[in-house]
Amino acid sequence: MQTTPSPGRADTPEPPPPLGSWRRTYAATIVLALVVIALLWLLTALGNVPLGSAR
Amino acid sequence: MNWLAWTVFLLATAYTIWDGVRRTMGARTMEGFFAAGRSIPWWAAGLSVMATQLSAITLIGGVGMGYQGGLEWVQFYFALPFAMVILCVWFVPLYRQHPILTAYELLERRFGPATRTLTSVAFLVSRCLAFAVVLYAPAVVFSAMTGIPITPMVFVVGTITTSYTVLGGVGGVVWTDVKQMVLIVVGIVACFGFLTWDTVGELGVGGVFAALGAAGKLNAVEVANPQWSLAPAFEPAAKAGSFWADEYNLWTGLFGTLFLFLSYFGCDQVQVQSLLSSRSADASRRALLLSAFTKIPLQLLVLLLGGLLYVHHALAKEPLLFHPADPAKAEALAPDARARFDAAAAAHAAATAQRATAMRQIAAGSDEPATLATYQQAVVDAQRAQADARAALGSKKDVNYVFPDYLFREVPKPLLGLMIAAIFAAAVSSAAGALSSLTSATMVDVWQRWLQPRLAEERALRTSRMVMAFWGLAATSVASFLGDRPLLEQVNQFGSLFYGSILGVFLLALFAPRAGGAAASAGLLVGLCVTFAVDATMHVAYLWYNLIGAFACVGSGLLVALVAPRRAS
Repeated sequence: MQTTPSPGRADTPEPPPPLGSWRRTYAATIVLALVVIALLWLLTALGNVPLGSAR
Repeated sequence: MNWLAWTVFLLATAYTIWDGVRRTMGARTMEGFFAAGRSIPWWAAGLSVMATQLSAITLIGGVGMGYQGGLEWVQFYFALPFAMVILCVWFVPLYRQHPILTAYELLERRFGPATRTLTSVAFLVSRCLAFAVVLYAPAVVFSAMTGIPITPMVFVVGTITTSYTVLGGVGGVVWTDVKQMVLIVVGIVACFGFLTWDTVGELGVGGVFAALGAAGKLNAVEVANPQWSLAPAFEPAAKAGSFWADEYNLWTGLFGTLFLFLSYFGCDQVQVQSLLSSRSADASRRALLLSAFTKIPLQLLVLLLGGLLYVHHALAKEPLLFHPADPAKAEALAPDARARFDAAAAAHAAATAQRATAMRQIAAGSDEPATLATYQQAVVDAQRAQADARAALGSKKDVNYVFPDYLFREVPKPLLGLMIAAIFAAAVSSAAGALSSLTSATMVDVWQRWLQPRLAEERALRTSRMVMAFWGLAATSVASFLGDRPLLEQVNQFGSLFYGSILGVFLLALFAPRAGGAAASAGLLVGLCVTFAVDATMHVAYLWYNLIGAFACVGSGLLVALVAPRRAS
């Protein structure tokens, strides 16, 4: 049974790198996303008046 | 469109495509054709990921949704940064360990040929219909706006997409995507500036936000709703109050779309091909993180563009209807329908006049409850009058025509040409990504795997180009026969029926060492059956299908793995 179906490709396997050098980037991405969601929640809470709520 | 708009459109479109193909016409190997020789820099792969995801209808419809529904759609993208981090940590190393050309090749190494073929076929089934609609949907809008019939428009989009994808392969697609994404962002920013100048100049920044907020359009996050019931809705009548049927809220945005994005960016060949084409694993990570950082701001910009357009129309004169064919339909109405239409038009005129007055008072700082109540009532009345007018005409919702209507009637002609080029670029880039991924899955996972495993490189490349031309021609033909059908939403939902289960197979590969081929194949089939059963019997927002399919696949796969664990190889 063939396991590498397409012949003739460059064989350049890369070992899976550890989290190491990317840890801060991932943390920054997650924190930034949470901050953006929180800011949008604040915008909604402070600035939005749902239709039908004004009497 | 006058000659100036056509010139800008044709020059911008021709340059983006010519430059993309010029860079990659010389592919001589399968790796060169389907992975651009692993030579794409991270920023180009990242822009390609974004351009492929941003279809023309997403762009046009996004502005329309911002106009009609406010910011609520931004919640759809909340999980995207988290999904990208998960993909960077677990999926990218998996893909870049081996010189694979499709995501599904990896599954053969882990589970054997049956799982690979099943998953690839699931992808092909879910994608081939979507590809036709990706060609068809923007052609409908272009056709309505330019007056050119739908079928020639479909052939124009289909022929251009197929030609440059056949010539340039994935490399051509990626480099063309880069130009197209730049064009899209420039177009959006230019339009945003134009509308900002117009509305902020009259009301001020605070006034614009006050007007939008008072109309309920700053609804970026919905955490809870007193109407929600946690009981699943089996009957259409129960759908309105069901939490599970509500499409855009914080919870679908965080959990439903997390699984959608994991599957779409991590297991769908449409996107994985960009990651496999980049220079290294780190380049693939950077490409994904580019979307993580830019997608939510870009989507906010598109929705705010819709909001600014709303304020602009509210201050000046809002059209009663946005579809360009509707005025002619109104002229041909029977007397009773015409009377209903005229009544709706009169109600709309009265409501918009009242809305403009109240909006100016609110923007000027009025916090009178009576003014706010008058404004909100006028907002609701204007929407209701528009719905009544459409009902009298027998027309569908015209959310996709809000933005084109504005572009064609009000913006300067060079900006119109630029924006039409940007919308056309969004259509073509999504279609090209779909075409190249359909071809690579067909060739690598089916043709070379089962039909001609020992095909020489040169012949394989020639066959790939023929398969690509076949897919392009087939999708163009299907798209030209679709007629005027509201297919886009159904096709998006159809895709979500598959996404969760396909993701489940990859999750088993990553996190269930005991799971073998039987467990993965059984998991995929059970996941698909459960998702289709939920779709057939319950009213659930389609975003949840992704989570349901993934859980059903992983759960059943683990159960099978207990009974029939993976044999040591």
